[in-house]
Formats: sequence, C-alpha cells, structure tokens
Amino acid sequence: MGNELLEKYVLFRHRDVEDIHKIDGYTANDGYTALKKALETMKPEDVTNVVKNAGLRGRGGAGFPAGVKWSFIPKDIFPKYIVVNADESEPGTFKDREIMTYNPHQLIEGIIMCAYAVGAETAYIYGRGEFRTLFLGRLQEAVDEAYAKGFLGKNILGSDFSMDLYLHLGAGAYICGEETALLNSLEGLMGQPRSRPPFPAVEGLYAKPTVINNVETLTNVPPIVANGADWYHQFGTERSPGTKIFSLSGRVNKPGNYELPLGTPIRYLIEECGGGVIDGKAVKGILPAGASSAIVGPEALDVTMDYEAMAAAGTMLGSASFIIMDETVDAVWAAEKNVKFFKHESCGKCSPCREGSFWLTSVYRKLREGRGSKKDVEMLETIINQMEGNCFCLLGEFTVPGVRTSLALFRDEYEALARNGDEMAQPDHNLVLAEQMLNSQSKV
Amino acid sequence: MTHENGIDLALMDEVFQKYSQQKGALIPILQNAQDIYGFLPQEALQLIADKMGVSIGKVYGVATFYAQFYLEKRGRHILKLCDGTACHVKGTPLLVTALGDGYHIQPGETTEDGDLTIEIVYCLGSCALAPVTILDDQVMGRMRPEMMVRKVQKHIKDAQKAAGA
Amino acid sequence: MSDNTVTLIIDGHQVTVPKGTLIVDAAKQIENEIPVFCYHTKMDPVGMCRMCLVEVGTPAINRETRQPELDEAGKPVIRFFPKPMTACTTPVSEGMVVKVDSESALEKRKGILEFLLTSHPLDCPVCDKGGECPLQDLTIRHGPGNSRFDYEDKQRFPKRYPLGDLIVLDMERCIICTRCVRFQEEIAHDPALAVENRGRRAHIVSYTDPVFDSHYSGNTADVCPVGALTTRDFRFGARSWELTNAPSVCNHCGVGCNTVLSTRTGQIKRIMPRQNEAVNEVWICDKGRFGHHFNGSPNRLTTPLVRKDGELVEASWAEALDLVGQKFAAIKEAGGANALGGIAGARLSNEDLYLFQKLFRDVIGAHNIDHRVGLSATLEDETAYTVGVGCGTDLSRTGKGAAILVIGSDLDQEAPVLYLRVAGAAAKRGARLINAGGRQTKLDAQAQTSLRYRYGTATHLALGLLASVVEQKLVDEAGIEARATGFAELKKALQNYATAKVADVTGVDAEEINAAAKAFAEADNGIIIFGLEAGNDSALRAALEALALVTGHAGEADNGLIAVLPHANSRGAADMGVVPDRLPGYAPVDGEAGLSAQEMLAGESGLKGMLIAGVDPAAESEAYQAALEGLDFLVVQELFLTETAKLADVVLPVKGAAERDGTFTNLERRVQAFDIGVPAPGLAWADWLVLVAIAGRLGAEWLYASADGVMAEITQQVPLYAGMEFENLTAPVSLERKTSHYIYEGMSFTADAREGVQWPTLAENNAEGGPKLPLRFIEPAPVAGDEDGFTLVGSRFLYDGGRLLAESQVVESRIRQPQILLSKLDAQRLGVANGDEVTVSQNGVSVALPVKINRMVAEGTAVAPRNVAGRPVEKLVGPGGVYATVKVEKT
Repeated sequence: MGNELLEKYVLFRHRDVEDIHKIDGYTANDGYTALKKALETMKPEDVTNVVKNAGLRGRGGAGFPAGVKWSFIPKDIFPKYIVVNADESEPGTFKDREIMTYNPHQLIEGIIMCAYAVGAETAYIYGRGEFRTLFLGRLQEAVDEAYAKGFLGKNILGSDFSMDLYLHLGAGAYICGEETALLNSLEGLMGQPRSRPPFPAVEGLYAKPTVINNVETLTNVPPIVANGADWYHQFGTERSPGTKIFSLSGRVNKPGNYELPLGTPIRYLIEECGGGVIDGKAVKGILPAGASSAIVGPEALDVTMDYEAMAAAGTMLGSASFIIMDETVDAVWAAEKNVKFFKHESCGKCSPCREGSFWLTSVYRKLREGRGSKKDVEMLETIINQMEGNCFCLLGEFTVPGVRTSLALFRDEYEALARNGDEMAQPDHNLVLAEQMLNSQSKV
Repeated sequence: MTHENGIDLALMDEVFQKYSQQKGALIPILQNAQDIYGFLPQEALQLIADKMGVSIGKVYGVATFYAQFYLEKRGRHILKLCDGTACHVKGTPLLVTALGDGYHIQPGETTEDGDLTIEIVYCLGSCALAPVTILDDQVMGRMRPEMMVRKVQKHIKDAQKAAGA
Repeated sequence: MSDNTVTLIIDGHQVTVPKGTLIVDAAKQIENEIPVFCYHTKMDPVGMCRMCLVEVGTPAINRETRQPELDEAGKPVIRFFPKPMTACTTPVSEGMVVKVDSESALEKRKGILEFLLTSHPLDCPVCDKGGECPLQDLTIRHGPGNSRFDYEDKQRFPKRYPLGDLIVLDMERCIICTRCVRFQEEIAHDPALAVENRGRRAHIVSYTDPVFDSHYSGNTADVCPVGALTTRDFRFGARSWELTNAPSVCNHCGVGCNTVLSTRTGQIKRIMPRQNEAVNEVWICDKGRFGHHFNGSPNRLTTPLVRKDGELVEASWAEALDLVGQKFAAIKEAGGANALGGIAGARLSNEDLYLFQKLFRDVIGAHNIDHRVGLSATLEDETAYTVGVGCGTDLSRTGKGAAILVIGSDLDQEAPVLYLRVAGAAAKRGARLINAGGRQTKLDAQAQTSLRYRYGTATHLALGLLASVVEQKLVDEAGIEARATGFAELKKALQNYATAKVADVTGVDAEEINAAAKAFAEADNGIIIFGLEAGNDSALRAALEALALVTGHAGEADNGLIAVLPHANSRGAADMGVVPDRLPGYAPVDGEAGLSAQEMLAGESGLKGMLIAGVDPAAESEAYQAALEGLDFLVVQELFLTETAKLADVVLPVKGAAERDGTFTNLERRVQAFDIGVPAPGLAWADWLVLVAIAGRLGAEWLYASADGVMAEITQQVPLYAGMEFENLTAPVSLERKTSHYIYEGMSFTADAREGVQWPTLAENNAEGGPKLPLRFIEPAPVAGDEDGFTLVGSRFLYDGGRLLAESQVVESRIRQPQILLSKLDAQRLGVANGDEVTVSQNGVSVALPVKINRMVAEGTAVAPRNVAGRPVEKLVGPGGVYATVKVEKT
C-alpha cells in the first residue's frame, strides 16, 4: 500500500485498490461518500471553504489556489460552467491520463462537487485528441456508470442539485492547454488565447462564468471534503499542502508517475522512485515542468518539490513533469528540440511567439549544422529577450526559460558549435538584399 | 448522393443529427467526418459550413489549425512517431531513419502503394514508454528500429490477409 | 473630475478622457501616436501584433488603509506592472501613468518590429504601399536598419495570390494582423476571408464563390498596414508620393461617401475613402472605389454632335448651341413654352440642376421638368423635407437605446455603406434593428426582428405599426399636441388597421407587429429607412411620416426618415425644384404644374422639343424610346453616346464628376462639395456651363463664371441652402474635432476632411416653435387578391448594367447579367438547375432568363436584377414598377 512516503495513495488510489475504476469498486471503497456528505450536510459555500482552507493549489501548472478561484464565480449570472482541463500536452506530463484511466470516478466526484460549490449545471472534460480511445472508452463508461447510479443527471442523490457532464476531444494543439484557448476550442473555434480581462470566472465559456481546473486538481477534492482541510495539511508543506503526482521521464531507469507529498526533494524522485540515472551516469540537467521549464543543474537535486522552493531555485514546479538529461545528452540538441516544439505549436496570434520561435529554430539549426558563429549564440539571447514579457499568452513566454537556462548552464557546448561556424564565410547581408530586390523586380 | 470523386455526403446526415442540439460542435463534427472519409474532403467541409451556418473560411481555419485534421487523403495505415522531448532523447530519429531506409518515405509522406503514412507528433503523453509510436490505434512503446519495421510489416500483411479473407 | 471621465498621465502629459477609453486612444488626444498594426479604431481590439507595448503603472493602494500610498513629497506612489501592456487592449484608469517613449518601451517595440520583419520581404521599392506604409514608417523611425535574420530561412509564400478579381494578396508581406479578416467579419458582415493554419504557416485565404465575395473588399487594402493586400486597380499604378489628392464625393449612389481622387498625369489612379464620420466613416464600397474608369474612358463624347442628313456628325460648340437656340426659340414661338420640356438626371450637381430649372422656368417659361425617370419616379417627394433625419444625425454612433426600422430596401445592394452603418449600429453597438421587407436580405442577419410582408402590402404594415403604437398607448401625446395637427382624424382612420387585420393582409404575425411597434416607439431615438421595394405609394410616405411624428422620433438628431434614393443627387434634384410642381426649396409653383417625366415620356404629351441631361430614358423602355423619336427636336447633354443620345438632334459633351467641381446633397440632406480631380477629355463642358450657354442663345444674360458662383445664387434664392457657399462647404474640420474624431492609423488618405452641411427639416423648425405639421393619412391602394404564379421582384443590385460602371473592366466579372433567382425547391419543382433557361411571362409579355438558385429567395418568389442588358425584368414589372405576379416555366 502506498509508497515509502505515503501510507495510502490520495490520488492514485487504484494502486492500492483493485477495480476502483469501476463504480462498484469505487463505491465499495468510500467512493461518492464525500459527495453524499457535501450534498446532505454542506452548503455550496462550505465546499468552497474547505477547499480554500485545505490550500489546494491548481495542479495544471500555475498553482493558483482552487478554492479562491471558485469563490470568484459570480452568484447571480447563469448558466455557469465547469471545464476540466484534460488537455495534458506538456511534454513529459502523463499524470492525468493515469487518473482518468484508472481512477476516473474520483475525478468525476470532484467535478460534481466543484459544480455544486459554484452552482454550475454543466461540466465538460476537454481532453487532447490523443485521448480518443480513453474518452470514447473507459472514461465514457465511467461517466455512464455515474449517470446510471444517479451521481450525475437530475436531482443527484435525491437532492435539488442536477448537473450534466460531457466529454469533449480536442484535435491536436498544445495551445489548448492555455485555458482561454481551450475555451475557444470548446466553442468550435481556432484554439487561440483570449484577452484577459475578462477572466473566465466572469466571462468564460460562451461568455458565462466558468471554472477551469486541471484533472488532478479536482481529483483532490473528494478526499479533502471527506477528511477535512486539516487532514490534507498533513501532507506537503505549509504553503504547498497535499500530495502531487510527479511524471518522471528521460534518462532514468524507471520512468513513470509517482505520487509524493509536495516538498519531497528532487533527488528522492530520481533516485528512490526512478531507480537513478541509466548506466549510473551523472545528472546534467533537469526540466521540472516539461518543455516550458527553466532547466536546473545537478546542484538542484536537493531542492524540494513544492511551488515555493522550485521558484526560489529559479525554475517552477508547473505540471511537475520531470525530464532528466544525463551527461550523454547534447544540451544544444535538447534545447533545439524544445524550440522546435514551440514553433510547431505556436498558434500564430502574436508576433513575438510566432516569429520568435521561428527565428530561434532557424538559428539553432544553423548552429547544429555547424554554420553558426558566436554572433548567433548571442542572437539566441537577443531573440528571447525580445520575446520575454511581450507575448500574448504563456505559451510564447514558455519558449524563453528553456533557452535562457540552456545558454547559461551549457554555454561551452554552444560556443564549441559556434567555433566551427566562425571558420565559415558569412553571407553579406547587403548583397542578399540587393539580390532580393532584383528578384522581386524581375517578377513585376 | 455520391459526389463525383466518391465522397458520399449522405453519410454525414447521422453526424448532423447527433450534434444538432449541441452548441459549437464544429470540432466533433469534423472528427466524425474524418472518421467517415479518412480525411476531410472539400465537399464535406462545404457541407459542414452550410449546415452549421458558419463561413467556409472559418471551417477551413479550424480544420487547418489543429494538427489531427487532414485535408488530403492518407495511407491505409498510419504510423505516428512521437518526437516529444523524452522520446527524442530516447531515439525517435533512429526510427525515422529506419523507416526512410525501409519504406523510402519521410514523415508526412505516404508510400506509393498507399499502404503507409508516417507522421511525427509532439508528445503523446506516454513519455515513460519513450520512444512511443502508434500504429493505427495500437500504442507501441520503447520501440527500437528493427522491431518497429518488423511490426509495421506484420501489421500491413495481417490487414491485407484480413481484407483478402 | 466628472464621474464619467478618467485622468491619467502619458509621458508626463496629463490627459482626461471618458471612462473605458483605451490607452492607445487616450494617447491620441495629446497627439502621442502609439504605433499599432493590428489595432483599428473601428474594430474590436485583439492585442496580437504587440507593437503598442507600453509601460503602465497605477497608484499603489495601502492594503490596510485602502488609501493611495504617498511618497515623501506627498505624491502617489506608482506601481508599474512587471510586464509591458498592450495599449490597444488596456483601458485607462484614474491616476494611471503610462510610459510610451521610455527607453524600455522603445526597446520592446524595436524588438517587435524586428520580429515582424523577419519574414517580410524588403521590397519596398516595388511595393504599392511604399511611401504610405506603417511598417515602413515605423521601421525608419525605430530601426533596425539591417536584417539579422538569415535570408535563406525566410518563410516563402506565393508572391501574387489573387484573392478574387479585385484584391491581390502578397502573403510574404503579410504580418498576420488580421485586420482584413476582422473587417470582413465585424464591419462588412461578409466573412469571406479567414486565417488558415497556425504559427508561422498561418496565412490569409478566401474560400467563397466567387473568391472574396463582398461589396467592401477594397477596404481591406486600406486597412492593411503593409503591402500584403493591394487592389487590382492600383497595383503598380503609381508611387504614392507622386499622387495628387483631390477631395471628392462618390457619384454612384445617394449615400454620398467622401472620397479622395488620387491622380497622376491627369489620370485617376485610385479612389480611396476620405473620413467623414457622419457619412461613410472610413469606408467606401467597391463600386465607388473601382467604378471611376468612365472618367478617362476613350468611349467618352469629346465634341458636340449635330444631326445632318440623319447622321450625328461632329460640330463646334458655337454651331451646336446656335442650333439649339434657334430650334428651341422656334418651337416656343410655334407651340408656346409648354411645347418644351426637360429631364435632368439625378447625378448632376446642385448647380447644374438649379440652372436647369431656371432655364425652363425663367428663360423658356415652362414647368415641364423632372428628374424622376423609371424607378426613381417611385420614391420620395417631400418626406425628407418634412421629417427627414435631424441635423447632426450620426449613424456611426447609433447604438443602444436606438431603434432603426428599415422597410423595403436591400441596403447591401442599394446603398452599401449605409448597410455597413446600420448593420454596425445593430450588431456592434446594440441598436434595435427591425428589417421589414418582402424578401430576405443580408441585413436580416443583423436584425433582431425581420418582418416579411407580402409584396404590395408595405403600406398596410406601416399603418399597422402606427395603429399598434396608438393601440398600445405608446404615442408621444405632449409632442403631438405641441407639434402636429389632425391626430384625431388619423386615429379614426387607423381603426381600420387593427393588428389582427393587418396581420391577415400582410402575412406578418400580429404579435411581431405589436412587438416591433413597441420597440420602435419606446426607443430613445428612432430612425426609419425606406426604399424602393416598399412601393410607389404616397400613402406609405404619409404613414411613415405619421409614425415618426406620433412616436416622437422627428425633429432632432438621430431621429426621422431616410429615403434610400437611387442616385448621387436625387435629394438635390428635389431640393433644386427639378420637378413639375415645386420650385427650389419646395415652394409650390404659381399656377398649373408642368408635366412629369412619366407624362413627358408617355407620347402624345404635346411636347415638340426636349432637353435631356445626364439620364438615359430611351434605354429604360421601348415606349420611352418611341416618345423621344416622336419629338421634333431633342438635345442631350451626356458623357457617352447613350441610347437617348443616339436619338438626339444635338448631343453636347459634358464633364464627368471628377472633371469639374460642384455639390451633391446626400440622402441625409448633407450638402457636400467635390473638387476637380482630372481634366476632361476633348471639348467637354460642365453641365451648368452648357445651360448658361443655352440660356444665352435664348436671350438671357447669365453671368455665372463658376459652379461656386451658381451656388452663391442658390444660397440667396433657396433658404434651405443659406450658408452653403463653397467656402463653407470646403472648410476643413477643426483641429480639435480632428484629434477627437479622426483616425489615421494604417490609413493612407491624407486629403483634408470636410464634413458638409445639412439643411434643417420642417420638423426641426417646428421643434423650435415653427408651424405645426399635419398628420396625414392616405388610403393605400387596394391589395390585389392572390393570383397563381410567382411574385417576381425587380431588384436593384450594386453591380448593374449602368453605363458608367460598364467602363470599369476591373469589376466586369461581377456585373449582373440577366438572370432569375429562385429558391432551390422551386427550381426542383420546375425541373431546372443553375444556368437552365425559364420563360417568365405576364399578360402576353414574356422573357427568357437563365436560372440561378439562391438561398435567400423564398419559395414562390423570384428575384431578377433591374437595369441589366436588355432590361428583361422591367418589361414585366414596368420601368417604374417593383413586382408582378408572373408565370415561370421551363423553356
């Protein structure tokens, strides 16, 4: 049962209890008792308050307190919506898939309680297109079971509260993990982010008040309501309470999902959970939040995995998808990888992200092909400076930290590549311009 | 009513029926259309625009924005190779090379006989299984070049046999 | 400080603006132009290009005391946001401090500019936008001077991608600001453009059929802040800095859009909108933009022609004018003044029209004059004079609280820019729009209420609305008491128009009639726009006048009636008294009225000689042609050898609108002056000058040396036009108004704005204590019983077969050919598909027309364009008629 740091799993209960993905298995193990408790003994604002007091923070990446978010929902505007962000697209993140596959009812129960707390009658789970099999199969089955047992639909458990839950599949766009882009996508539009304000809590889906929470966030709700805020505080740190699922991948022996209390050191995740680095090599860099991360070096191994400590270490906890690079990994190659990913996923709305990621890719290619010079390395820095803080949404901003930290930590590798390029002749820009003008004139 | 190029638009009737009450159902309708035709034919897009009362430009905008929609015909079998950070680190480029050697196609291309299309995707969310490939709907993790080529060959052959029988 | 304003500091300058103003607009008030690409004042902000990044700070508030924190000097502490903000999406707040020109903000913008230039080809030397390009201007201002981006890596797109016949896209130049896409969606309501794909591969596409199908496409080239979109017409036409710009007024419809004629070496190179918020904002339609080629056309008449031995041959002006003088004098001598008559087209200027009536009334001594030929005969007489929209009406502001009732007009086709404004009032600004018509039109998509009546019952509907207002006790009692007479009689007459009965006659749901009446009556402001398809019916005009007065929607700005008049100066022609029964300024003629155009063209009119200027009745119907052939002597003033000119004994060549100056009065009674743009071909004269010469040959001594001089006399003789000297009409707007109302971001026009002058209506005078207005009731014509067959509607389309438009090859493919639009179901029933021919017949007249299936057309209705080759629909509905019941059969 559980692991060394947890007596019992809070989120990954399927690892403790068999058949919990089936409704009978779930109800036989206290499933939906929290909901019953909420509907029968608590007012909606009580539910919000216990979540607030528990200090549950958004697990999608931003770490915003969930209860506070719920309390922003205006009371007098109808309808309201719950949107569950299951667009798990950050490279290296695969925790929500496990929850939805093996412990779906705990999520569904959390969604119902969230809807009850804010007075919403409609909820959507927005999953990335790749979750098709899961959404058409197992997760839909779980929803159907919940309807059949009266946990969803009209007058839930005989109360006045009714709600519907729909599954919705995306079609392949990383940007849809950004909550306002997700809302556009859910409305059948291009997944481009919206201006804020207005915030989704006021004008979200179809311009109505909307709570958007991550799968893992809502999966925390049933145990919190069942056991109370104090119980929840036994896990984690003062300001980052609770347990968290860490997705571990890259050059480790046992990649996978690990549920641990927040505040556990990185070293524990890599060494105890992940069985250490392959072939016993040394850790070279850690991307704690997938491609969006600022990379930290091996000196960060003893940093604890909570929102505050990670920020203090110059990076972020984000979705807690730890990608481990060992000494065999070429740092420039890895950074180029990330940049290419952001270029591919840029929605094209704002110029710094659209053009910046495109330009970065071009410079990286040049460097990696041995055509780059020292100037190009500096250029990378200029480009990210011109992007940072200027993008429309966070996706654009997320391009920056990986490049910046990669340049800082592994400068020597960049410069080694640049030395090759310096020996090659550079094209004369003025000649190029003249040629271009002649070309366009001859087309007239 | 079958269109000149073999697109039977009547197949869409059921789809429209299913989503008639749902606001903003453009994406699920496109997904259903792609399930029917294997890609999104122009005639279907026009029909969807007309039925949903949105401009044809908007429909194309959405269909081209998302990576999982295809406006051109694809192979009978689709092999997706994940090239997300974790998979890349674990050797996706080697898989691409192996496929190039074996089938003479690059990502985004279809073999001449129309059997196989290979596509690069960015992170399938199964990084623990890196490198991950998906052959039609079958996930194949921790893939190595020779093994992958063998599996693809077998998969195509099995399908041909099944079709023949 | 008022509750509705906010005071902030921008680069050290204090500025006070209304709450909700965006930083970018607030900065403009102090002439601090924040650079933008995607932002456009007329569209919703999107914050995409990031060019307008500025540093923003707000006063720090102490958490405990909730009071602003003060520094040692007692000044509020300003806390700056950690990231720069886009000035185009951030509204101002009290005490805000904005840094536009700080080093950091400049650095940010320089970075953005470099990004935008990464894939932009530096082909300014061959780009049409060069010289008036915001991207070029800002690059010069902010640098960078050199490209650090690798040339080989530039994204490649096709260089010339035609977006339809009119607009060309150079995708490499595009910076994806999406102004064009948003203009089409938000303003034109023709979502013909879209962004396809994402990231750096995003590009602009059009999938409509025909490609980029919109009447407003040219505006996208104006709003494009780079040279990505150019018009076919101007492409490689000239360099912007070599153009001479003359302020002008469009002469294609009654809206009177303000334009700029950009000319070079005596040729019009392009026409662009000139901003006038009260008329066209910053838009013009494609007909106005591309339909200018008649001005320099080689087909123009360049010399007078006189008929010798049955042939028209070239003659000198002296010879031609002498002949006109002799013949007119002889006809008068023999048959009296009433043997002469004249028709002047409503696209002549006020000066021409004034002298035209003066020639007939003062010199010849006849009232046989008119401007209303064909469909023009069916509209408006004096309604605008009585309850036209109040002076100062500005549809660009009409929104919440206002109601607009449109009746019998397809604005998108008949008055496109008026469509934009009405649609915008409803869709963007929340006005309540009621669109009443016999068929579906584009405006229905923006209307909250569509009232679909049977053709021929528009007047009943208007009376039904009026009766419903009375029944629901929504009348403006005090207003009526103070300002109108005859309400008791009107009420009595309205008893026959109870809602249920009107619903039965018109086919409009009774509840909808009541709801529409309520919405209109209860609105703060109400405007009624009526058009030709509502029918030729003075009863309708009386009903609409009464509706405006009874609901209190008359006599002030943003209230009253607008008639959708067919020609550029239809209003002016009525104002100038080019009608048989009214003098200039609407005073009735002394004694008997003269003959109307209908009467003059009916044959057996007793006329022996006629002068026809700027109108082509012979093309409208064979009967008119026969009547003209029966004359002893016909003089025609024209641009082209029209069907009427071909019948003439003397043809006098005149100047096009771009070749002379003058004034037009638009459908909102706004008198607007236009300047000379290009020289006229050959020996053409302005119409007014021709009239001066003819008067001279008839013994009058007119001393007009310029259009300006004619207008000076008009201001004296016509009280409505007092104060409308050219000097006033051409005065540029004040600097203050310019900064508060005028936009230049991304717009290329530079010609100084002028706003024209409106003349006041009787209702406005009456609001000031003038005489009371009578509430009129006129019994409508009886409604014909149901007949078997289709209701055929002869509709006006923007691109018709008009003589002027025929000279613009660029729009050739869009010009309507004879056709009949049918619903899909009717076409199926008739067993016809697109392009098949049907025979349309009525009372022994039949025409063959190709079928076009159209989604907007209802079952049982058939729509056919008027004024196209051969005028087929006019043969069935009559030149002045709107609809007829016809039989349609497969040929």
